[in-house]
Amino acid sequence: MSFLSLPTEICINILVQLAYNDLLRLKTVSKAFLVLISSPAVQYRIQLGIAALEDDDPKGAIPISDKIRLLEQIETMFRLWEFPQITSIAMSTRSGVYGIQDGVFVPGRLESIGGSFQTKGADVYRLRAPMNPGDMGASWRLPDFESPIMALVSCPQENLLITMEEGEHSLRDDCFILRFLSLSDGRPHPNSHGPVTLPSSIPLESGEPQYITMRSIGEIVGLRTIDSKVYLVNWVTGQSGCIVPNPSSTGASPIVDDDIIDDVLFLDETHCFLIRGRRNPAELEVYEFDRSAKLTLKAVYQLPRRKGRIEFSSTNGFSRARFRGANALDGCLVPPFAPVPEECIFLIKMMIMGPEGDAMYPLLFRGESLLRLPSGVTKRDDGISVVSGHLWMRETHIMEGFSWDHPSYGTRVLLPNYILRSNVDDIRWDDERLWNFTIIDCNPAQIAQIRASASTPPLSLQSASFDRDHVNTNTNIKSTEKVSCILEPMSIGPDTCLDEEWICGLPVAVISFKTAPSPVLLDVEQPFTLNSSSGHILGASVMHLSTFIHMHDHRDSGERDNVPLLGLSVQSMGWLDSYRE
Amino acid sequence: MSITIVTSDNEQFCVEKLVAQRIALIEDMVENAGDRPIPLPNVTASVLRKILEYCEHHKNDPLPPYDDGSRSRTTHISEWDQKFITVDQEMLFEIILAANYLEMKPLLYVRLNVPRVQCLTACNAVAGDIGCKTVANMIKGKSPEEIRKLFNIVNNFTPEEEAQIRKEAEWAEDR
Repeated sequence: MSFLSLPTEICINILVQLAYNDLLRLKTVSKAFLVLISSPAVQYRIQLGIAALEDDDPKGAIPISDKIRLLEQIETMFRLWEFPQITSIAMSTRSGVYGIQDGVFVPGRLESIGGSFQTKGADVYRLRAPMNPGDMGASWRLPDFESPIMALVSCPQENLLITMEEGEHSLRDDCFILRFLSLSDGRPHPNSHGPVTLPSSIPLESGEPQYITMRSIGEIVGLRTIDSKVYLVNWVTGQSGCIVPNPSSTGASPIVDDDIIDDVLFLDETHCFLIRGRRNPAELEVYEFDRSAKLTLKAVYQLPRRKGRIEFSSTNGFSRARFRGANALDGCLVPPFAPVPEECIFLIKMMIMGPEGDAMYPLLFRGESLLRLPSGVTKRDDGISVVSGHLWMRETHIMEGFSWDHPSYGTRVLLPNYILRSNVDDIRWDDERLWNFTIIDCNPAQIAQIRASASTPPLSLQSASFDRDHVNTNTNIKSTEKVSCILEPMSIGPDTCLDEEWICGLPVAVISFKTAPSPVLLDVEQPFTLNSSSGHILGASVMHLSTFIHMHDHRDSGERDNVPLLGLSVQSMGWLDSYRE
Repeated sequence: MSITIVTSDNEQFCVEKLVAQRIALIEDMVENAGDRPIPLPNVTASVLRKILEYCEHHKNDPLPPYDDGSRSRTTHISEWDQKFITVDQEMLFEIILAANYLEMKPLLYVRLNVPRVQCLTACNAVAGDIGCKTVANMIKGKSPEEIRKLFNIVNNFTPEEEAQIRKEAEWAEDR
């Protein structure tokens, strides 16, 4: 028996007892060692350990296991923390667009201008960091722009606030203007090349909301416009690249005349992928990009063919800078480390328009699955690798169920059981089991354990046609009381502490208030629209954080009839036994 | 009261129950086995003998409580444990492997609804702490060449490849 014939988890146990410098030396021992140490599982633990105590260990001499142990102690603190069950934070102003990232929350101010709602300015809240008690938080106001803001994204790692407005240049065609501002004061970012103007083929008038998705990683911002074009912009150099929809050349049958790019998502700092859902089979195109934001098609991943047309309703995925960067907002609550994008779960919502009716399917996979080229891929005429469904979808989950936004973080996604029901009409909403949650973890290292923990079969987890084995569920999480409270307007502030952290391989979300808000009961039966949500797994418990637009119906007061109110809801779930390693 | 264990090479061990209970897997199997001997198809007699020796020595230790971080730092291994683990490399790996196998009992934690940290068993200590620490200590501070010699590994890098990786490593070490 030799060292490398030990099971990988034991090798990892041994390796984490070593200091970083020992691991560097091990890399040169043999190819097998290099592969082992470079494997995502080992790198993940190593990065975790390094990132954890970077400042205390400049020479890389502290064993990684010690660092992780220290982090576990920190996490124990969080686990003992008492969380409000559901808390809604009402903003003083209504908001159409917003950004929330790593403790910085930027709601746009929604104002009624000439009969339509527009967002021209925003409020920036830097929330107090639980990991950094000295930081008391802050807030400031981004003054109104001349034109409405259509999208904004905060990137605390880069001290960057990206806004996008519609252009109103009478001499030019319609355009979008991207501005790169400093997140700490709203002035143009010192590293930024300046505003970037992009053409738009959609008439920009009447304040109609333009559906735009915007994501950033490092120096690159990716955005998809309503006319389905994808731009990559380097905000430091001002360079940009663009991809427009075009009919597939991979032999996919043209069941629709138009090709649509549904979204652009980052896999890591040099790769992104586009979703082309209208093709059959639907395709995910992986592009490589460089600092000049030029995109090069590397591979095409095809979904299994379906009878119906696939319409991607929306997408969800985390694309963030990896670790603490030199440009980070001074003293801000940038988490010491965040999930590595390629390790993260991507969640794509597909709608299949079939002959027997439409059905919603969440499609789940880890970003890493798109970076690997399995054997047996075919080459297209232009040399691009085409990976067909069964070759790469072994780690992919497709589930039947209607859905809107799902909380996802790292490799995990939290699904309320009611979304796993394929038929809404069958649902009895008083069935308590519907309010239980299912965690699906796409990290292979977790699969065995989660499988062991899933003692009760989920309510209805109907895996679509393939890969049932790879759907892992845990039904031990149970939602606590559905009680919510609304804070008084403007109660969000320096005393409010909201943050997400990534500790010991576990995402952690923390929200707390210095003074307990007086709870106001919300009738959950009142009509509301879930706008967006994210989930956080806190040690053994789970928090569900969602923003929603709540339609109040205050007939008595007469004043606030059907006023849309953006709220932030934090829901703490029950304990998740036996989930952790 | 004692329990009979049969190893992969068909040797029978008669073990005091208190000792056997230190081994998570066996404790789990005892409940279902009744009076029948417990088979351990993945463990040989020589390895089981070592593991039982460990359990015998530690049978009266309290089960480790929740890990509050006060556990010994990496390099510290008690004198008895140190002597116990002073075996040839082959045996060391066999012990780690067997202990890892004997410790795996996630289903029991679920059934008993006991947080896993409270179920640290003697074998966990052998596999996780002593065995892995010992191997880690063997690696610590050694040059790549010494490690190759230690684990009997052939360097299959070309000189160029090795120089490249070393360069990257040196760069990182200087940071």
